[in-house]
Amino acid sequence: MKLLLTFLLDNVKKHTLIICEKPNVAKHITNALNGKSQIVNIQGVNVYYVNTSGKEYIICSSVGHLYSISDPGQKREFYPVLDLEWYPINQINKNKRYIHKYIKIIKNFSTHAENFVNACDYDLEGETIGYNIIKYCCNKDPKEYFRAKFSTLTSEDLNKALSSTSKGLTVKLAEAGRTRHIIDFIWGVNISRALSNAYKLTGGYKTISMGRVQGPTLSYIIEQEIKINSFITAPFWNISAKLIKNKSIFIANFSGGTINQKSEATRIKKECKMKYGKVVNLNKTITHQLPPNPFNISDLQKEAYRYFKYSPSKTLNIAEKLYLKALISYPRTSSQKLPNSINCNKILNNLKKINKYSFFIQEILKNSLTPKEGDKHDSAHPAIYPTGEIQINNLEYQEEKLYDLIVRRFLATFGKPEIKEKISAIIKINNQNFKAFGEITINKGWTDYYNLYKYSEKNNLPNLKEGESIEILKINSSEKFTKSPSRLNQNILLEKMEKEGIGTKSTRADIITTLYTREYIQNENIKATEIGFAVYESMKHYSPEITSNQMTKKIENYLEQIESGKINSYDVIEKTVDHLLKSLESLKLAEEHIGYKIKSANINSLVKKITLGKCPICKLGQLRIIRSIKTKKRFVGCTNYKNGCKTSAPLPQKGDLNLTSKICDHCGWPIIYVKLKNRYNWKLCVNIDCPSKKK
Amino acid sequence: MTCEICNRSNNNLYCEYHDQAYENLQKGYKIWKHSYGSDFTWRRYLEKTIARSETGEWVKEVAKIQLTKIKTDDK
Repeated sequence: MKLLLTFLLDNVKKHTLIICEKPNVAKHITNALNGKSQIVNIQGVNVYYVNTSGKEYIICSSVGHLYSISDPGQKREFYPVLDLEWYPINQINKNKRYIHKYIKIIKNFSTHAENFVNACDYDLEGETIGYNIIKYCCNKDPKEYFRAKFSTLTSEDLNKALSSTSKGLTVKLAEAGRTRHIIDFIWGVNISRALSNAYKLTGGYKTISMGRVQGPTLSYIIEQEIKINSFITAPFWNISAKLIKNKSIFIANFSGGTINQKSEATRIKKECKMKYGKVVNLNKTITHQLPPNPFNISDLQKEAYRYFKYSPSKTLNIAEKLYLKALISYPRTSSQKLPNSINCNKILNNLKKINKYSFFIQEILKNSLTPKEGDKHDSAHPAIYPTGEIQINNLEYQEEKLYDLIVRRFLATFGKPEIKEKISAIIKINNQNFKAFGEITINKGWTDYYNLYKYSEKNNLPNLKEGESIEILKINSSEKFTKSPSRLNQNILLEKMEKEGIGTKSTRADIITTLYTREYIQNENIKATEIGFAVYESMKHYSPEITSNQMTKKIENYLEQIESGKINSYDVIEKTVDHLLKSLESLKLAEEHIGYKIKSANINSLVKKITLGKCPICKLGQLRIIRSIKTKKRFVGCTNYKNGCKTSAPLPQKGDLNLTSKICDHCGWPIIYVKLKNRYNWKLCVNIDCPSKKK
Repeated sequence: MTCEICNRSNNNLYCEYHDQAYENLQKGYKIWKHSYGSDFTWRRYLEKTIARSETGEWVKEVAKIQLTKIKTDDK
């Protein structure tokens, strides 16, 4: 291996150096070049050499970003930080020392390279990764590199991309990408340091982060939390009739809608206590439901959450794995278009070889292939589609599920509309009208391909005729209460971020994950924590810009203008710094207040995490999880022990303990859940003498 | 001055959140009275809203304080 490396370094000159974003892509490109190839492994990093038609290529891979922004001073407590530079990531992050190897390898092979090809993902991030590598690692003018643009890792697409590279056209995209990094860093590092320093004044330490996308995202969650917590419910009544015809029971609802007065509901119910009602109107309409649009990343994330409960970041990770296996096209796209160039016919014919799709595809291929498309367009990539590669045997369970969803969605876009007959009947009971609805599917259309992933409500009515009498089984009046606003889940939050234009298709999922990591939010149905509230309130009061989506929207707009060459990066950064300095000034003046506010929220939330509930013995103290200083073991004890309450109980020493608000029916002590990693969880009454344990 | 319920600093008895919750609680009473009839008491209203899972946490906290006040007055 060493000999081969020496040979390559000494003898391969005037070659083309291809830089990829990920190791797998380098492998696919080597295969696509289809020449005499050699692989050399240098300290665990694969470098590929290809000789094809007399041309020599070295294909090196990166592992995402090799360079990142940092401040030369690197003193954590100092702010404002405005003097920034790009550094190799291994110099900034100790956990990423391995990056050094990648930089060294690319540097070595760049010395004698004649041409450079940026073959990183074709988007803002990919462009930035390639630009930085060529600029800092290869010491070349980025305007001189060639750009390979591809949306799938199939040999055909890669070959096309490598034979039609262009120079300099994407530099503006890189400029926009680099500006985004700088702006995000400037806002993120300065505000986060201001908050962390404020916390430090209280004598504690906690990483408190805030950024220009985190701010508005947290504010959506808090605003919803405020609505939920201050919600007051109101009573209303629904009246329905249970009817029967030919042994078929169906329900008709009072057509006057909901009733707000109990007395009114009682009166109507009384009036309708009859044996028969009469069908006074019957209306039938035919509806056509068009196929869905092809997936872009947000739609895929929403659908994967809906059916598999995968978080947006998980879906993105799985989709990237499928992309790197060349099974689907590039997933970080906002496009809902499937252009002719992707050759749907060929893809469908390949997918036909997979048994579970073959019947549907035969049906699709009988007609002309015109996929349903949405309005959203992405200049870099088409919508997500299966490439037609069918090596799916080694997929992991979750990959298999997501792949199936993507394939079926792709098939559905070629389907015919779903045709349904919708029936509505008005049944008169005494003087009151009741409405019943039903529907019959006439043609399944696209839903046949996508049936696993489509909600369908079965709502059948017996065959009714106008004028006929219908037997009434029961008139029901039910008291109901208006529902509080629902909590956001990751899916809805992602949708909201997209609608408001904050973050990018690639970063939104990570932003949500950060809010969880910082403990600003918790639970699947998102609940803002006390720390989340404290941070939000501080920001809203002293730096309102960061919690509003206006500033971040404005910056997104600037970035688009940089990309199209209308403004330059310097002006945008200057404007940003002006805003930032004002915010920092205001935060500095109130730092002590902010620090204590967040600290108090942090302490409250820590206390909540270990408080099980009221002591069932002394009824004065609280039962808490305590760790013994002597034995380091955890146990339950009462906070009232100083006044003589000796209530205590041992706890399992392994696993996570999840608190519940439940109380044991037998002894009134709190119940907890014990969670062991990779093992079953169980419910436990913390009272060791609980009667239920003696049975 | 701090909020009687959550200790947030403020100028009134309650913080801005609990103040809003109290306002909603009062508005809600008019609606409930219309629904159940004029003999529907404030006390019954508070008991019912506290028991409902739909009621917001802050509203419940304010309602509990109001109920305690009524009970104390009754004694």
